[in-house]
Amino acid sequence: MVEYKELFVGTSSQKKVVTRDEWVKKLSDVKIDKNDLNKLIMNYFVIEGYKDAAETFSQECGLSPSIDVDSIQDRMNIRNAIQNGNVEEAIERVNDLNPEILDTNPKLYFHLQQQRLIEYIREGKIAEALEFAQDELAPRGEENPEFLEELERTMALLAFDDTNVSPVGDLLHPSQRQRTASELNAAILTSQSQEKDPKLPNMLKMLVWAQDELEEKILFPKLKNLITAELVESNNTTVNSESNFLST
Amino acid sequence: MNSLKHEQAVIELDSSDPAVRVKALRFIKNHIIGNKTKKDLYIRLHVIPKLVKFFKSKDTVDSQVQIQAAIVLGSFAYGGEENVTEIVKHEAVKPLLECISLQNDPRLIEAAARALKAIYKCPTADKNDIFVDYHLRDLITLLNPDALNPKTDRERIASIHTAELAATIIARCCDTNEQQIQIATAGAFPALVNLLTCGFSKAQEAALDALAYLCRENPEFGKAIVETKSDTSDSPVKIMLNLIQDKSPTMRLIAAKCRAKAIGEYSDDVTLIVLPTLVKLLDEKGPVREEAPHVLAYLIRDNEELQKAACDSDAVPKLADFVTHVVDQESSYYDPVGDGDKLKENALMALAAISSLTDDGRKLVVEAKIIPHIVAAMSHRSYGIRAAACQCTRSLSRSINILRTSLVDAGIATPLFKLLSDESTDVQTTACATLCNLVLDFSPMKRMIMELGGIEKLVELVHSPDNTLRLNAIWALKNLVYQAESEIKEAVMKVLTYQTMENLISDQEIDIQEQALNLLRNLACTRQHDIEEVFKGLSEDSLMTVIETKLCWWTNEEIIKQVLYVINNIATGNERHKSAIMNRTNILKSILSYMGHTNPEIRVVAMWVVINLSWMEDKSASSQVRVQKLREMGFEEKVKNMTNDDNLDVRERVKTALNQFSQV
Repeated sequence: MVEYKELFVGTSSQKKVVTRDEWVKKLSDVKIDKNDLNKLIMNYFVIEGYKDAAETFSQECGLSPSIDVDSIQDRMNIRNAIQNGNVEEAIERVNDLNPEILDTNPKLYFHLQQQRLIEYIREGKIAEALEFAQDELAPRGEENPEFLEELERTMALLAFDDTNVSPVGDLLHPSQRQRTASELNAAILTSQSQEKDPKLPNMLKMLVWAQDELEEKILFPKLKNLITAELVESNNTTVNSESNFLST
Repeated sequence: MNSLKHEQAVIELDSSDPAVRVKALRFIKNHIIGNKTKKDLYIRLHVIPKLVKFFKSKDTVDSQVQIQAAIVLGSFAYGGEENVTEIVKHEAVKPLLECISLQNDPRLIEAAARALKAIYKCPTADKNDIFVDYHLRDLITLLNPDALNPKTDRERIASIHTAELAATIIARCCDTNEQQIQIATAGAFPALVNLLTCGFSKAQEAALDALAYLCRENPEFGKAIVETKSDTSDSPVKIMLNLIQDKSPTMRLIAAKCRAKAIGEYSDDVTLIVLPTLVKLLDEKGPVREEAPHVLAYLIRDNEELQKAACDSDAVPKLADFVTHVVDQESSYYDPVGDGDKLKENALMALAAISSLTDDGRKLVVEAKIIPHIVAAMSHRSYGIRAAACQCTRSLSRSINILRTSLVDAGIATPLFKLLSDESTDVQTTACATLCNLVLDFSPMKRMIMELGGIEKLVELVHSPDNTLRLNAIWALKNLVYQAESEIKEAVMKVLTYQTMENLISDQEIDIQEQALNLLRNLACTRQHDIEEVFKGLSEDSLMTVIETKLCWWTNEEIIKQVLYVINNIATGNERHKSAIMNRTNILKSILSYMGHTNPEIRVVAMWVVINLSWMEDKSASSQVRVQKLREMGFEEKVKNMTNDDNLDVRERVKTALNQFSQV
């Protein structure tokens, strides 16, 4: 009997436990400059191209955007064009903005042309899609053999009537438009000597990683939901932690 | 492909309505940007001359037309060398240069500058037009973003972009020293240094690049750049060091490259900041990782301190990894990922540099176990890699120990010898330079190379049209006969012939003359039999005439030194050999005069000649006559006067000589 209890105590008291109150106090003891937080948020709005949000936020917290709002508008228009399936307009706009971008980014140009093909297919304009593929995409493959694989994938869309069962159906997802739009947005930012990666997502990734690392050493209230920022306590009794292990 | 709409667009370029023209231009523009196939199509439709025409007419209403036309021309230039050739052929460059004149619409200036940048990216484009009229002055003015008086944020950004373009154009137009001088004289240095502080990374990178090209192979300009006054209180070095620690790896690399070229007075930051930064950049990916070893090699190449510091870092294992583990990739037309071949080549060059001056460096390279890979690299399809492999071997062969063990074990002689017949002259030249070390007397590979036909091959290369190759070949032959057995000397001269050697002694290249004389010196060295062979080969008369001519009519110190060594070696011979010299009064008078030469090395050799000429094997009458003649000509007196010479070596010889004179 005695040995059984000691065994339990032995396996579960390795980790120190931090209560919710202790943890919240520790959190509030860390001094963070509000200005830095604002900069993080502004950085996100500016890079991702949310002009209105950036302007409103700027008025609210008195922080001016790191770059001029006109250029945010330019990028927003371009992103919106792609999100609406209007790739040709996006190409014209980016060429007006900086004609070198597409001339020096063959991969990006290919993805934009690929997106145009996807949009033709989405609208059911199969004849135009085939003509476009022949006129515009085949030459890309000739100029650059590394694009052939992706090109074949895209052409495979034409092979399936029901795109729900197509193995390449993901190309018709909104996320594909999002990917193309982000790639173009990043290229524009780079050409303007701006950062292309917002800091906020990386910080969130680091937070999740840090929590996982810390969890191996102590038990503490974790942020499980990044949207609500709710702190969820981990159980600190020996029996419970045993059963947690057992249940997983 | 249905090209009807494209043909239509070209036709509309001729419309009298500027709006129609602009529309057509934009149509064309949006089809050709990023699209090589369409660029080729439009060129076939003869669109380029039409575009150039827009700049030749004085229509001021059409600024939009000119702007779009400039953009379109710039885009064509991104389509490769053939396109640029077409553009240049239709005389587009001069009109575009006119467009960057400051009174024009800033958007036109920007568009034209963009086009010029793309055109000048092509190495075959003629760069001379920039240096005419005020174009260079305009370019340098544009380096200052305030020059175009930007008022809005948008205009400011466009000005900075134009400054970036101007810097890139400048970087691409300093191929020759004269071009560098012209650009510097026009005031490029302060303008570029100021651009380094503008805060926009692309413009800063372009400025760094331009500065690096302006002081390429030009240490004087490197110094000038470092001493330029900037508008801020920071020195150019401080500004560059800031950028060397930037968060972008590309910026760090370009800034390090710029600092490596613009060194001026050496200072600690090079060892403490620049070198470690370059070593860390070896951990990056893509083009940065590929170029970092190249810059590293350049930085440390003639500097023992830096090489030692590089040894202390973990550069060698990283570079070795690139040599052993890089997968050979096919490089495509655009090549965004990076070139496996180039990385390997640059890594080999960096390793060659690290091991060039110190034994520690050589040991590290050997311990990294890459010698088998170096041998394999000698038969790589890329000539750059073959040449780099030779350089590596050359550095390693400077250690006698490594030469006799690791290099022999790796069987380096045969593949290296094969490279003497390589299709690339560069490779032949480097292989030849490497062989120089391998054919010295103590090298175990000497026999092997001779058996492979080394003598014949080297003699063949002595007749090559390339001067550097010839020089290396004669150098190798010189090393081959250094302290060699008589049979080897005879074998060499049988193939080379004394006539050829005589011709080389009068070659138009002084370096080659020097090596040829050194060859003669080595031939006449060590044994009387060898001296006799030389007398037979050249005939006493020719030999002495050659010596006399060189000694009395040349002032080049290296030449004089070698000739004196030749005389000295002959003077160690028998009575007949010594007489040959004694009979030539002019030669003796020259020697007497060279005993007072400012260069101590020359005085020492002259003293040796005197010692050998005043040496008496026996107390024979002829030798006594010899010494007496020397005395009469003033040699003993001269030697006495040199008793207090500055140089220790000279003073020691003086003692010996005086001692010999006192015997008669």
